[in-house]
Amino acid sequence: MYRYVSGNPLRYWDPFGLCPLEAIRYNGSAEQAYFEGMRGIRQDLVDPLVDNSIEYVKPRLDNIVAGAGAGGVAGAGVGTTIGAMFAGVGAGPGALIGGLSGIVGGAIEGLLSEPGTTVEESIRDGAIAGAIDGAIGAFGSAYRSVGKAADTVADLSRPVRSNAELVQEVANRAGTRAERFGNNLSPAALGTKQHRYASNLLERYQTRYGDRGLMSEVSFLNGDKVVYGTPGSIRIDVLDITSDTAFDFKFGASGLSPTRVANIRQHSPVESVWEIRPE
Amino acid sequence: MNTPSTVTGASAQITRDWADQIPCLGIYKPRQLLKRCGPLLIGIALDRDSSNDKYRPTFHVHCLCIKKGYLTLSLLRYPDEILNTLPRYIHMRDHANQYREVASAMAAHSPLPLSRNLTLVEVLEAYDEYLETPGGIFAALSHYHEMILLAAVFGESDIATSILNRCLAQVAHSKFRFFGGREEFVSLMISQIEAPSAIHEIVEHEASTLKVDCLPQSALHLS
Repeated sequence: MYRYVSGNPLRYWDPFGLCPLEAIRYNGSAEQAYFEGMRGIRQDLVDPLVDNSIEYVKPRLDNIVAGAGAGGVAGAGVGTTIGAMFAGVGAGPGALIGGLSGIVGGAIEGLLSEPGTTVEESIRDGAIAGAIDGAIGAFGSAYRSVGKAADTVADLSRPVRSNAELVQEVANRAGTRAERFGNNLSPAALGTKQHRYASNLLERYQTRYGDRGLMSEVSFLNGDKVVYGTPGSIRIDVLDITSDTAFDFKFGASGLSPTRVANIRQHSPVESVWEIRPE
Repeated sequence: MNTPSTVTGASAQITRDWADQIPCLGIYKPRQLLKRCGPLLIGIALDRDSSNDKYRPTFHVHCLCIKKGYLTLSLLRYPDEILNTLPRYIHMRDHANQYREVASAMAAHSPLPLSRNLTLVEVLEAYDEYLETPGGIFAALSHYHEMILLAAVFGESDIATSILNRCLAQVAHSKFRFFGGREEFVSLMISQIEAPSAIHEIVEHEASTLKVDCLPQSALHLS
């Protein structure tokens, strides 16, 4: 529990999409750099080759196929070895990455071959190019893996919302959903839908990013947790077991009454009760 | 499974489905699968929310040593082993596809073995483990209360007193409000530790009130 906060929920870290910093994480990421690079390769290398007509490729087709095959085999072999050296890659993925890189390298070698180059020469050149490209591919994958791990650690160390702030943000989102639930609903029916939306959002958050000790719709009777619907029990909208706090959503005009607060404290072990209203 | 159209029908159906997967538990009520193990009820609650479109299966026990008249969810656990690999909630629309896997995983990773007799030591260790979790810390008093009475009903007054002392050292004063205060709790516990036969009477009274005779039974031994 609380692995996402290194076992310490009181430090208030939060890597979820509710956090506006999440957007920053993907700006300028390794993935974006990778795809930008691939776009450049296509513009500068592939497209001109295609434009130079099939006539160039046709006589070199056998060389391309031979180079790609040899490059794939050599690249897979090198990729397997290198991949096995890095926990973040592994032998299997290393073979795949190396093999694919080798195929591309071998094929390019065949594509760039002089007219009259034999298939045997293309196999040799393709194997050399494939081995080199396979190594580059596997090393590149390992580098990206290490980079991603570093990114993750950096993300986890980024301070964001406390549990109370998270519950407030959930209430804000439930508040802004009111229009989508329809204008023909009674205030009570709308409030029910907003409560349900908030509960589901909180559960989805914790399912995806780890338990923060926030329990939605918990029932208590005389200090005991009981199943929903137990006669005489009270139900808490959100219970924060890390701070002995109950959060009561209020989406309508009425507020949290002293009677309700006393009732919650009478039946549950919570120490404080907070009204949470969309801001 | 055909998805029933009514809330009652759906509850009955999911309860039967789960009971088929964990035959050592009996159906106590809709969404409640239990067995009796001496002064304990042990089982799995399929606790729903107000929308009734999803439910959360959770392991729990109920201690019969305390006069309550209703079923409590003590030792409430969703085993850590499956917390991050299986859904915390099962939506009704996904029930047919998910319940078998979740049920077998929960039975396999139950904090207390479901299919055999238990010992007091095993049970107290399970309580101790739970008391180290955030949920256990939050509900520490009620769990210490049950531990004290479980030890006391076996006549293990030294163990019960030791647990009482741990309880007093670790639980905040304000939490004792359910007993009228800290001193009142101590007095009640000392009187009960000294009278195991009175706790036995409470156990049988609670078993009768909750009508648990029809449930599968196993024994809780001292060791």
